[in-house]
Amino acid sequence: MVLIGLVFIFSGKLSGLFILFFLFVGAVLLTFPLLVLIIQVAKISTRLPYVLQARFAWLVFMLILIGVFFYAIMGLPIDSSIFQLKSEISYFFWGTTISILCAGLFSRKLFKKLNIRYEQQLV
Amino acid sequence: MEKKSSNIILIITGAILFNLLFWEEKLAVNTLIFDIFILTAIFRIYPTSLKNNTVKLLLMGHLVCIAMIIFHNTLLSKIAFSITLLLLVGFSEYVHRSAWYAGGSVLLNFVLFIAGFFEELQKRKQVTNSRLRISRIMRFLFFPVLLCFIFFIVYSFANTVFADLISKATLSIREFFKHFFEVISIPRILFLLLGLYITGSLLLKSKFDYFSQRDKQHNDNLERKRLPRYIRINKPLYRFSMYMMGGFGKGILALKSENAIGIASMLLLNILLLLVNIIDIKYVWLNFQYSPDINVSNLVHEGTGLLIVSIIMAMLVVLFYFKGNLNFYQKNKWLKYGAYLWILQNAILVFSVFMRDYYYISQLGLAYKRIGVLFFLLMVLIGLITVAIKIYYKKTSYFLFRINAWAGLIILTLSTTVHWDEMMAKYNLAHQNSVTLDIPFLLSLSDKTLPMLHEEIEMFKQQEELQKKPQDENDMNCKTCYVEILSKRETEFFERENKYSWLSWNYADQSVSNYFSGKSGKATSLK
Repeated sequence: MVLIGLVFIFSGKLSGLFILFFLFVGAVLLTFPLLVLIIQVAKISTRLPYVLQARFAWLVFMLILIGVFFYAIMGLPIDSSIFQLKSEISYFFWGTTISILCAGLFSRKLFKKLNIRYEQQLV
Repeated sequence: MEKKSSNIILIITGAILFNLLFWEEKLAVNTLIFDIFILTAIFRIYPTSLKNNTVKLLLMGHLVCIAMIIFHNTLLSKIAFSITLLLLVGFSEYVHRSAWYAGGSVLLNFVLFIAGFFEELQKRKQVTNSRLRISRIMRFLFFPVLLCFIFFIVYSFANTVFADLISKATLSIREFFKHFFEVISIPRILFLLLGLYITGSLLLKSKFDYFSQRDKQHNDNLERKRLPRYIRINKPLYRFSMYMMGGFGKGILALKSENAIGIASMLLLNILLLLVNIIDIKYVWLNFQYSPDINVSNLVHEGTGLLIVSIIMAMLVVLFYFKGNLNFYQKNKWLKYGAYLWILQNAILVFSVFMRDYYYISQLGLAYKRIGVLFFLLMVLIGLITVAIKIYYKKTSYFLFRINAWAGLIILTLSTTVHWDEMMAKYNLAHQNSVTLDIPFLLSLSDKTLPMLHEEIEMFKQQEELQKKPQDENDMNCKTCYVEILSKRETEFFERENKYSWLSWNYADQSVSNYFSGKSGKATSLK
């Protein structure tokens, strides 16, 4: 959704900024329920018998999978070719996937803290 | 470390092989090549697994399935191949006795593959100890790129020449990516990743052996347990019986009360089922006469529905009463007789449904669900026999599920040796004078039946003339234009086959191709 706003900005329309803002708020509201699932996955990741980096990679992978399922549920009734590049909605999916990867890359320290806290709780 | 690094190499090799063998191909001879690679890799990584008798038996079943993929190339053989491969992996990598738990372990392999793969990579990374990390570079670049982006938007609004310049640059970049993705397609890269995921999940054992541990905790034989009251009262089944029986469920009278209730339940259930069975024997076994007024389809479906409910109830009732110490209660003789009779009556019910299915087939010919019912009845019969064995030899529910899973697996493997579509077409066409032919169904069967259907082209023409309505003449989706549909299917078969390479070779398709090549020279030879 944010991508649509960016397209408007690139096409030279100032109204794009407002569209960008509203779409951003809309996207947050729409994906808010996913937080419940994401928190559970994050908790599970801290309990896996693997090294920290491996747990982290697993978490990012599961988040991408959640994204896939989210787009499959929300997007497939609208467009059956959602996961193919010919579909315009597929850009949303790829945008989300890249965002998850980037978010993962910048939140490794946070994940480390989460793991340390969990291990302290265990002790 | 050397072995660990070779695992990674094996996984990557498998992913590349998967990509080369299966991209835009169907499962056929390519499956055999990939399977040889996977099995060799598994037995190399886990060499002791070959000493396991279960693995040897599973391997035999798996080889039957792969042979059937090349010979019949049916969907059933492909499903059976996948299931046997997954179980073979489960039994090779973990210590298991039950196929259910082995399946759980393989599922964990798939769920935790990413973690396992990255751990392997991490170990390799520690050896190379590279200091140059992509994430560090990206962190350094984040703020400058963000700044650039903001100023970029400001300048593009402020300066039209700059905006023009940017739009030209954007076009060039778009063109570049367009050509780039023509050479290296994203679907192909994703397919490679899928190959990596599948190969890795098959070869890499997960570190979380939850199902293996659970499997070890179970026994085939029931043991008498004397649990302290404070543990017993927290068990859900105990609470349920307390709720049902009240004061009778407590203390030393508990078993006696449970036995009495069990006998009463078995007696009532047996009387009820006896009535149903007498009606079935009288009307379905002995005096059944087909007339067009009887809807045979409903007759079978109702019977099967009843059977499913009855069997599930029978299993639950028997499992409830024979869950624990009642098996060792000395005066449980009548309860056991009641259970055996209940099982026998269910077996009679199985035969009643079999008779219904038989009438159905003799009137309307063979079809998927009608054959499916026969397999279901066979599984039910095995289930009933194993329940009787469980009671007689004081076995656990674990034993019951374990044995039934193996029985199911054997039936699945054996069922792949028959080309059911071919059999259905052969039977229905051979009995076309006595059964009502469902021509749209015949025309929907797999490609292997095309030669057989082609031989009956005169019959299709006659049926078409009889059934065709005037409005069908101009209808694009004419359902009674049987000859046209058959001809279209033959053309589509060759169009499809010409797209495949030798990797998709299988005997079934080759025989169809040979038939048409010999018939009219219409067919182009398969690659």
